[in-house]
Amino acid sequence: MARTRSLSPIAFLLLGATFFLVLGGVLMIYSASSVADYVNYGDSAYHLKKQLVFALVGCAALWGASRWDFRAGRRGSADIRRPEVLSWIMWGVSLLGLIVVEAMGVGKWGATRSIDLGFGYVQPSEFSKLGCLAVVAVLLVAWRRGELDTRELLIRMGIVLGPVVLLIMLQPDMGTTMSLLLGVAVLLWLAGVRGRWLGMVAAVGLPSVALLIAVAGYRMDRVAAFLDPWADPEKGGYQIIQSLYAFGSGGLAGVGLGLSRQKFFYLPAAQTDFIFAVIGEELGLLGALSVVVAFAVFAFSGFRIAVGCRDMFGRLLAGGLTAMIVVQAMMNMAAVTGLMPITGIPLPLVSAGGSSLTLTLACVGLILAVARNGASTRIGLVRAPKSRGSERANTVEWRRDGRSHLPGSVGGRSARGRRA
Amino acid sequence: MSAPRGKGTRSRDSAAKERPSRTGRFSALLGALALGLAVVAGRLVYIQMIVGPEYAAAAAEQRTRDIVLSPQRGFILDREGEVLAESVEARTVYAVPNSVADKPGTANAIASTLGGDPAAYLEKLSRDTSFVYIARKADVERVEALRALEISGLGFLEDSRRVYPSNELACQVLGFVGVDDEGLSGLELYYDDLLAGKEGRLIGERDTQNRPIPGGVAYEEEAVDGQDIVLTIDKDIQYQAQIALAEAVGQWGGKSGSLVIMDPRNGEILAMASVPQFNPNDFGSYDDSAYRNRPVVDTYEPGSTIKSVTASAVIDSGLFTPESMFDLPPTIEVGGRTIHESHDRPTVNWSLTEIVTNSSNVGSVKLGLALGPEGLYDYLDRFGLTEKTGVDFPGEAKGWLPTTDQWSASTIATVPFGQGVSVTSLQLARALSAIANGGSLVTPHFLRQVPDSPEIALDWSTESAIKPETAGAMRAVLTDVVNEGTGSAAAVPGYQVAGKTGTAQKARTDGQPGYAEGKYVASFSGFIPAENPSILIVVTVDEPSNAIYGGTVAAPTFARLARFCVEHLKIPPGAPVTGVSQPAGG
Repeated sequence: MARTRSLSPIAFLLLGATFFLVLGGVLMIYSASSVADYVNYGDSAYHLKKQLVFALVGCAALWGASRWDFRAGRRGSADIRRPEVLSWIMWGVSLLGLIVVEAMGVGKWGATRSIDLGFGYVQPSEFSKLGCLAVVAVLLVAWRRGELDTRELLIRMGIVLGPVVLLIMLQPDMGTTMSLLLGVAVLLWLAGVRGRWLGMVAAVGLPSVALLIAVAGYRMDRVAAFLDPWADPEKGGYQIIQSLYAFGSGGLAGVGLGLSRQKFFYLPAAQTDFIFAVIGEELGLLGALSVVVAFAVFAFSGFRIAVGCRDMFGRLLAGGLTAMIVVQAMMNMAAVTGLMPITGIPLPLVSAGGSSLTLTLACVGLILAVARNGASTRIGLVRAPKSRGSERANTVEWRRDGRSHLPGSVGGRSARGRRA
Repeated sequence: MSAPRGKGTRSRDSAAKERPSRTGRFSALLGALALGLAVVAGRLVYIQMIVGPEYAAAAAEQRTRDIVLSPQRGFILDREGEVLAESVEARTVYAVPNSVADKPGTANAIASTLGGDPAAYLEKLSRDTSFVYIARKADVERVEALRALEISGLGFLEDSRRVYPSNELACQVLGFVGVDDEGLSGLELYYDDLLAGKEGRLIGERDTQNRPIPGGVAYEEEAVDGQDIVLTIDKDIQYQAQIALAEAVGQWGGKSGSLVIMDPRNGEILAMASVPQFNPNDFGSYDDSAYRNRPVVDTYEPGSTIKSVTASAVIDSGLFTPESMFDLPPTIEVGGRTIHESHDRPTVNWSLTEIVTNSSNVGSVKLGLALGPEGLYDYLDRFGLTEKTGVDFPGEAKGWLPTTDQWSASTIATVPFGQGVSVTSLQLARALSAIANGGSLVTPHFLRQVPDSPEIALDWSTESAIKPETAGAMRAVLTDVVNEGTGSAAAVPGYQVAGKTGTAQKARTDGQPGYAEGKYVASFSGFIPAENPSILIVVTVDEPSNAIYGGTVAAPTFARLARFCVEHLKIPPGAPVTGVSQPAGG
C-alpha cells in the first residue's frame, strides 16, 4: 500500500532543500578541513571522506525511515511498526547509549559525548532527541484521544525526559539539552496544549536555564564572551571574533570557494560548529543567505507536510522534527554570527559530524514518511488521474473509508469511554 | 495552510473545535521560525556588508606578518685582513601571542632555553598583538633548543649579531652598534652607510602556527648585505699600544690617557688608544666616558709640545736658524704677565735648538714675539691647529684658538709655549707629521680600502705647511731633544728618534680663571726614524699623580711602542739623513 505511493511536490521541496544543504555542506567541509586534515592526518580529504560515508549512511537511513508506515499494524498490537512500539524502542536504545557514554564515553574539550565503536564515534545524545520527541508525540496523541489524563501525561513525560536530560547534562551538553527541550515545547504547542501551561513551563524553564548557566563557570564565560567578545579576545571571545572576521572578510560575494584565510587555524572547528562562518567567508553574504533560505524552505515544506497529514501522530512527528532541525540551525547560525552565546550545536545537515548528519537525514526520512502516509486522501485525489488510474484511487478511497481510527478527539474519547 | 482546516471541518469529527487552532499553531510556529531566520539574515547583512570591512581589515591584520629582514653587517678588518668586528649568525625569536596556547608554560620554556626572566616573557606573550619580539639576535644553539620544543605560536628568523672578537681591542675606534645593528658610535657610526647594507622586507599571510597561507599575499625583498671595510689599523700595534698606554696610566696614576700611532707620510692611523677602555660586546655595562676616543674628541692645552711649531715658524719665515742665539733672562714680562721657566735658572745665552731641547718658556715667548700675533697665528693655521683634521671619525673636536683680534696683550706670551690654546692629540700628530714628512699637512684617516667597492676613491687631501728645508732642520732640532734634552727617555737603541715633551697645566674647571693646582697633562710626541720617519707617536697621560713631566711619564711609553713598531714593520735604522721624504698621498 504505502510502498507504492509516490512523493508529493512539497515532499520533493523538502528533499531538495535537504540535499542542497548536505551537498553544499560536503563541499564546504572539504574546503574548510582540507588544510587542517593535511597537517593533522596527512590526508586533505580526511573529513570529506568521512562526511561522504556518513551522507551515504544517512541517505540509507532517510530511505528506510521514509518507508515507515506508522499506520500499519493494529492499534494496541505489538507490531513493531506501531509508533507506540517503535518510539519506545528508539528511546530505550538511545537511553542505553547515554548510559554507556556516562560509563565509558570519550570526548574532547571537557565534554564526554561519544562512544567509540572502533570504526567510528557515535553520539547517543543526537539519537535520544529523536527517541524523546517520538515518545512525547505518542504520549500527546494518547492524551489528545483521552487515553491519558493530564496528570498521567506529565508523569510519563517526566519519566521519558528526566533521565535523558540528566544524562545529557552530565556530559555536559547544554546545547543538545536545550534543543531537545525546545523540540518538546514545540510538540506541546502543536498538540494544542493551552498557552497558559506553556507559559508556566517557560516560567520554570527559563530560570533553570539561567541557573544552569550561572553555576557553570564556562557557561558564564560564554555568555560574557557573547555580550562583549572583545573584552577577552584571546580566550572567551576568540571563537566569536574569528567567526565575525570570517563573515566580514566574505563581504557580498565571498573571497572565493576554497580561499578562506580564517580556516588556516584561526577559526576553531571550522568544519563543524563554525562551517557557516567558512561559507560566509568563501561564498559571501549570497552564500550564507542561500543557507538561510534553504532552511526556510525546509521549515515551510516540513510544516506543509505536517499540516497536510490527517494522522495526529504524523502531524506532531513531522512538525516536531522540522521545528527541531530548523531551531538547531537557527541556534547555530545565531551563535556563529554573535546573536547568542555559543552552545556547541552543529549546523544540521551541513556541519561535519556523523551522528548529527545520519540522525538528521533519518528525521527527514520520517517527515517524508509522514508525507507519504499521512495525507493519503488529498494526495491520492490529486495524483490518482496522473499515475496509476482508478485502481489506486480506489485503494485510497478504501483506506479513507476504512479508517475508523482516524485521528480526532471523538475517536479518542470513545476509546477512553470504552476502557472506562 | 488552509486546506487541512477545510478538511478537518469536513471530517466526521464535528466536535473538533481545536483543529483550527492547532493548524493555526503550525502557522504561528512557522511564522516564528521565519522571523528567527529573518533575524539571522539581517544579522548577516549587518556583519558582512555594514561592519564587514572592519572585520576584514582586522582579520587581514592578524594574519599578515610584516617582518624586516636584517642584512648582514659588513666586517671591519685591520690592514692585514684580521677581523676587528664581525657579524655572526644569530636567531631572532618572536611570538604570535594569540596563537600561544599555554602562555606560562611557553614563558618558562623560553626562559629555560634562552635564559632570562619567565615573568618578562609572560608579559610579552600576554600582549594583545599579532607580533612581539621575544629575543633578538640570540645565540643560535639556544634558539635551536627552543625551536626543538615545537611550541605553537613562536616564530624564528635568521639574523646576525655584531661581535668584536678581540673584545677591548680598538674599542673606541670601532665603536658599537645598537639592537637593530645600527652604528651608534665610532667607525661603526661613521661608516654605517657602507657597513649597514640594505634591509629587506617580508610581508606574508601566515596561519596561527606562522606557516605561509598558500595563495596568500606574499612580498619579499631580499636584504642586501653590508660591505666589509679595511682599516689602516694594525692589530698588533694596536694591541701593544693599548697595553702600553694602560700600563703608563696605571703606573703614573693618571686619570685617563690617549695615544695615536700614525704614518706621518700619508696620515694612515696604525693605532689609536684611549684609557679607560670598554668591551664593545657588552658596552652597556660601562660608563659613557670609556667610549671616548680621546685623541679625536678630547682637547687639552698642549703645553711645551707646541714649541716645535713655534720654532718651525721662525725658521720657515726666515727669521732665525737653529743656530741663532738668544739672551734669556730667568723670567719675562709681557702684557702685564710674568712668564717663568718650569725649572728656575739664571740668565743664559741659548741657541734656538737649545730653547727647544731645554723646553724654555721664556725662549719660546721671545720667538713668538719675533713672529708677532699674525705671524704666529698664520703658522698655527698652517700646521692645522685652527681646524679639524678631517679624520674619518664622528664627533671630531676642533680645539680652541681665538683669532688674533680677540687676543689679549698676554696671549702672544702664552700661545708660543702652549697655553691659551687647546688641541686634540690628533691635531698635534698631524702638525708634527708636517715636520716628519718634509712639510706636508696630511689628513689622518682610518679607512684603507673598501674591497667590494674599488670605485670608492679614497682621496685624503694633503696641503703644504712648511718648506722641506724647515722640516729637515726641525727634525734635527727634535732629534737633539731626545739625544740631549728633556726627551731622553724616548730613545730607541740603534735608531735616531725625534720628539718633544709636553708638560701642560690644566685650566681650572670650576669657572675661575687660571690653572688648576697640581693638574697636568704629560705628553710626548715624536717620530722614528728621525731621518726618514715612518712612525709618529703621540702619547698623552691626563693628570698623572706620581710624576708630572712628559719626559718621565710619556716618553718611556713612546720608546717602548716605537721599538715594537720598527721591529714589527721591519723598519731599518740609519736611513738617509737628508730628512726629506716624499709624502705619500692616499
